[in-house]
Amino acid sequence: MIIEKNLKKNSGLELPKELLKKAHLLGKVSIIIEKNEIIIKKVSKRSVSIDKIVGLGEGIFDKDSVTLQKELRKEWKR
Amino acid sequence: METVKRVGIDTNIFIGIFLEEKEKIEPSLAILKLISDGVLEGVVSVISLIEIAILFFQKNEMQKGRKAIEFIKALPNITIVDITSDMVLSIANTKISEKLSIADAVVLSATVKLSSDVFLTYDDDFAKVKKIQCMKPEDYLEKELRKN
Repeated sequence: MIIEKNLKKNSGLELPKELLKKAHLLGKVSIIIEKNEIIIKKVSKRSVSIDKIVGLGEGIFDKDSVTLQKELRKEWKR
Repeated sequence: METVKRVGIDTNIFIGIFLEEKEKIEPSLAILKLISDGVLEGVVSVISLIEIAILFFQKNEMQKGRKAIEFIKALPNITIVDITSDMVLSIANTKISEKLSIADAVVLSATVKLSSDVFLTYDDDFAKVKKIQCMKPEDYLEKELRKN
């Protein structure tokens, strides 16, 4: 389903429920407004195990996270 | 339709988790958990991914570098922002007006581009930024908790 709307200043964009249903967009969404487009993404409920990356850098680096970041960004000046 | 709040995440948040940094790990993990649960949406600049890969690659830890990048890319509700030509003026403007380094301006611009509510970082170089609120993960969590 494609909907074309001619929006005027201060007017709202109301999307028909039928469209939202068809796009499976009912529920929590994320909206990104670009210059010439609006991206509506459904929030994912896929679960991941975050714990598996905890300590991934252990024993590799001898500086703290902010120092490592600052050193990397200093390299832009080289 | 219910929209979610969007937060920008700086490179050091991920590095802090990789290093299991004592005071940073808990709030940083809490933010990632809120993102993967769909309570928040995360915004990460592609520069952050490059920085993380370089850190591991510099130490000859290719596999761990790949694992770190794959993990971030696979996180649900994270948007990775590429640098595009339509961001050029915004990055230049951010660099000058906020008195940031070019790298900091590029990373921050991804967050601003997606109209995020806040940029989460432990780097105090962002402390005086006016364009967007920059704060530590624990301060953001406390602020949101107070609101609810």
